[in-house]
Amino acid sequence: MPASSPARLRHVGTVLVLAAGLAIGVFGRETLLVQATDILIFALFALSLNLVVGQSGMVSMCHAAFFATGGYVFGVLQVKYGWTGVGGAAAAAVLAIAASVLLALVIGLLIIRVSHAYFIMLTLALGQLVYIVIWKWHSMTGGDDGLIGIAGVPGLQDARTFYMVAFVIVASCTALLFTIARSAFGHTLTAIRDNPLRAAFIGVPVRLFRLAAFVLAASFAALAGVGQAIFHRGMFPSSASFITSADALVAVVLGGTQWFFGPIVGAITFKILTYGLPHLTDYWLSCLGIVIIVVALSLPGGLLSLVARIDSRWRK
Amino acid sequence: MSIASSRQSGRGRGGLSSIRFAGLLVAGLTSLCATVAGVRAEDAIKIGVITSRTGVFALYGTAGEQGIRLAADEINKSGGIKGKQIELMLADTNSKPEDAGRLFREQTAQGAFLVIGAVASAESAAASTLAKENKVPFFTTGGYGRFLTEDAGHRYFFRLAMNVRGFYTPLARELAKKPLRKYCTINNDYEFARDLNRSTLAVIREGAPDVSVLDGCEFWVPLGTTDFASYITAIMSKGPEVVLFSGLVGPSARAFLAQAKSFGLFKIVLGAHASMGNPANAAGVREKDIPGNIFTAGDYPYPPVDTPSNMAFFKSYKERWNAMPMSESAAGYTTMKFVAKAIEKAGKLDREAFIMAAEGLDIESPAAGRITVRPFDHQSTQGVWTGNLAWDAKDDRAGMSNIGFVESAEFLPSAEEVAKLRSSPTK
Amino acid sequence: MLWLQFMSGLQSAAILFLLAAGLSIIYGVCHLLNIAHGSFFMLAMFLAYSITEKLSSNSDAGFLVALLVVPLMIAIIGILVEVLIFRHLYKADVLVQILPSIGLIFLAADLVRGVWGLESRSIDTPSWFSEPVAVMGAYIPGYYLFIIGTGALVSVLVWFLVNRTPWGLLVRATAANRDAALGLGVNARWMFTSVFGLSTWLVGLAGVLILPLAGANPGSDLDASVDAFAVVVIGGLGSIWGALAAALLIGMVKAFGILIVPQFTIAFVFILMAVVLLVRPAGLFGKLS
Repeated sequence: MPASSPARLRHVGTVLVLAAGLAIGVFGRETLLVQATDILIFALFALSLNLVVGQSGMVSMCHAAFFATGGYVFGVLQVKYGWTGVGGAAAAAVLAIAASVLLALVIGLLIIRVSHAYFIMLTLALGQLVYIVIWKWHSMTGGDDGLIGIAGVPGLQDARTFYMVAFVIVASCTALLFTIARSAFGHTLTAIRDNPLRAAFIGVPVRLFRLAAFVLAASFAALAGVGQAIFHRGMFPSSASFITSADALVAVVLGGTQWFFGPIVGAITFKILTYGLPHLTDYWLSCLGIVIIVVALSLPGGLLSLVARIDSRWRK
Repeated sequence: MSIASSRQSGRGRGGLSSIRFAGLLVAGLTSLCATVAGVRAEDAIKIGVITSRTGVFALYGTAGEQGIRLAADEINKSGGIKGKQIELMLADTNSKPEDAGRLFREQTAQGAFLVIGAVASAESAAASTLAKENKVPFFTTGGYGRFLTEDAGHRYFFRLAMNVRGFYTPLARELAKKPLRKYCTINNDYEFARDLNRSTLAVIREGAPDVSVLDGCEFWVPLGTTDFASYITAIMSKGPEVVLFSGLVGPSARAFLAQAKSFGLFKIVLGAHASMGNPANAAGVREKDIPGNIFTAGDYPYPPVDTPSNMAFFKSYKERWNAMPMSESAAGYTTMKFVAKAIEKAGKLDREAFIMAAEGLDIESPAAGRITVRPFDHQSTQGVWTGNLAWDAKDDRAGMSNIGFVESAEFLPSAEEVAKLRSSPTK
Repeated sequence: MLWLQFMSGLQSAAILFLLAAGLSIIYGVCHLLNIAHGSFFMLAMFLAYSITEKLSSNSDAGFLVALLVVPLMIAIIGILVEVLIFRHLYKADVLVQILPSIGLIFLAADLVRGVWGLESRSIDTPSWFSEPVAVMGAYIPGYYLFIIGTGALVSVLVWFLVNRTPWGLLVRATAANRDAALGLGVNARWMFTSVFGLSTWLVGLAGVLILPLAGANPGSDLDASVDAFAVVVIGGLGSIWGALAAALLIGMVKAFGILIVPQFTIAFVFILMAVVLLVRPAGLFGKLS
């Protein structure tokens, strides 16, 4: 029964990941906590991207724009308008997500009619425009010096507490995204991805669904951005550049776009490589490049397809 | 569809490459665990070093790190600090401020007594925020931005490198003395350059209030631009007397000079660039592309300053790294020496005691002589050299001629000014 | 004055066209987005630097050799990359195609860092072109005219290759209808490899030509890739003439735009890209698939 194989894997995987995540929170040393928090934020970002890429078949190169908008709106409200304290931070986070949703609506309406390579290029261009606005609007964003002095949330300064809170939030978001992926909405998106023409024929408002997926993904990316702002006590324009989008794309494809947990596996792998490789060699970028090329050539379905393959071999 | 194709192409090489990949992954994990477990000598003094070794600031970061490592080796060879060896914890930020922040935390969590950053302004700002929050001293060797020690300065931030004011203040005062009033400006479009351009013009106008930037002759080009033909033709058509291009950095400055030469721009106007005397900024400039009339400044000039301490530094740096020292190399070297001296003076590994010891302490900088860390803003009193952009045939690279030295008292803000800047921050 | 602006815009356009033409051809024939295109450009500049500086004490002769040899070297590297990597990915998802190009970008950047170090490298402008030439009353540096001339010559050459040779016929047939052409027995492997070779030859030529003006800089790879993508997207993916038109458009918008809004140069290309794509989603000369 090939169908049950991913399901079984998923249950085992979920339990393992949850246990490992909690263990890090309880026993991890501070270095590990910092790295794990960084991974959590990146994983949520990649996971939200996969709602657009894997589930809806739209390769977006402007996802970083929503991530950065979330972080910057939160940061500006804290730094320039003094929305600190628990209540202020919560309100700032809500407004940050709302701003990102609004931006995604505007960009989404512009791009929803193009597809394939042109979608990639147009999202790249619009994403870079957002980056340029952040870069040039110095009085508000700090430009390339960065927006520093973000207070965050009182009580979350400690690495362990922040990790635990981030873990709970990311886990809840993952569950939420999983529910969305398995809902009628999610199935419709998959149908549109596989055959947009057929979906349109049976009366699915294709563009509306695509737009909804795009905006929904942006809201989760914005939440990850808020996490980033609190984590670093600052925001920097690089978080909006297409390189950040490309990093997430690499993570998504590395893990496997067709697996719900692919982006998480990809994000963890990508981050571990970028933490670990520089300790081994000065030429760590080459090593990372080689790993990426080898995975693309030998495992186009991503790392999780390897696990599935091993699993099915055991069963024979 | 993608799963089917994975079966197809994965058949042949799949086994080997996935093993190789797994190997790499394990290696990465092991090293991660090794750093987590902290298998290191307990007795050494750990100093964190975050460097932009890759990415856009790699040239500056690498030079800084090499200076730091050279100094640490010298200190360790001569017996360490009160018998304790220095252990540097090295890490690459990939020129990303976020990574600079993360690495700062990792290193302090792993027991770094303080952190030195061979990184640019934004990365320095990221680390500075965390330094303040965690009460861990942070030294930048590559961030020149004024705000770092002024508006956003604090007890835990130090800079032995020069403040950007050193680049533009003496230069602007010289320009103001000339009978030239019509300016054009062209800069890379980023904050450091914007501040540099604005401040330079402000200082020029203090001496010559009637200096003006010609209408439509203020150009901002993206970082990395190397095609300047249309800018140069536009500038020439406006007929300025001075072209101010201080904020063109790295590849842009070099390309601008080469193309200005082919159009003959500097045959008819005077050029001014505040920091071509920083060797990294003049990297790749050709002898033939240097006109005689470009006015500039620098914090580690070529040909190298002919003092015994600088000659010794220059020689051992070249021997050790097979590379020419740059401003950042000297800053990194001086910072490491200063840190060692301050720890020795404090007498114990206590961060507050260290800061007490560091404030007002002096150190011998290779080229700039004795410099002091000012107690009220933790900025060193490193001075600046001004001169004309010229070819240094002996070292085979662009340098300066007619070099003059300007003391930091001429350009650094006073204690009152710093206090004022900090109480009403613009950032 | 406007005439001088026009000529400098033309020079930018010539370089942009050479930079982007290959990218467009690859997409047209192989349906592959090679994000690492700019890495070949950067590599060409550094190779040309080494050959010019190290081969001969006469830098003019060295540059001439580089001009002939480096594009071929880059084409060979391009062919190797195609055979080793991209050949296996033509049928794969666009995402899986992008991944190895990102890997290649990392590899090339590290290669340059390892071999040439971190400093920019540069060569002198060939002395044949050191004097400005008067064209319709304006003095234009000789080397710029050489670039414009080479750009024009290569456009004609590419036109001839595509429209007047048996190879070009196969290329056009494959671009028009890949499956049908392959079904009729076009040797797809050889075809794709040769297209990759031509495309990297072109970008190699662009790199050598611009070297005396721009210098070889680590980090120029991403800038070049973004520029090339803008040209290709505005012109229409897969259309060589679209690339030519877009290169001219961008060159002119930059040359004259800076006279009007000098402070927003940074956004020119992206605004142009967004506007063109919103009005014509397939670019100026492209067809929607």
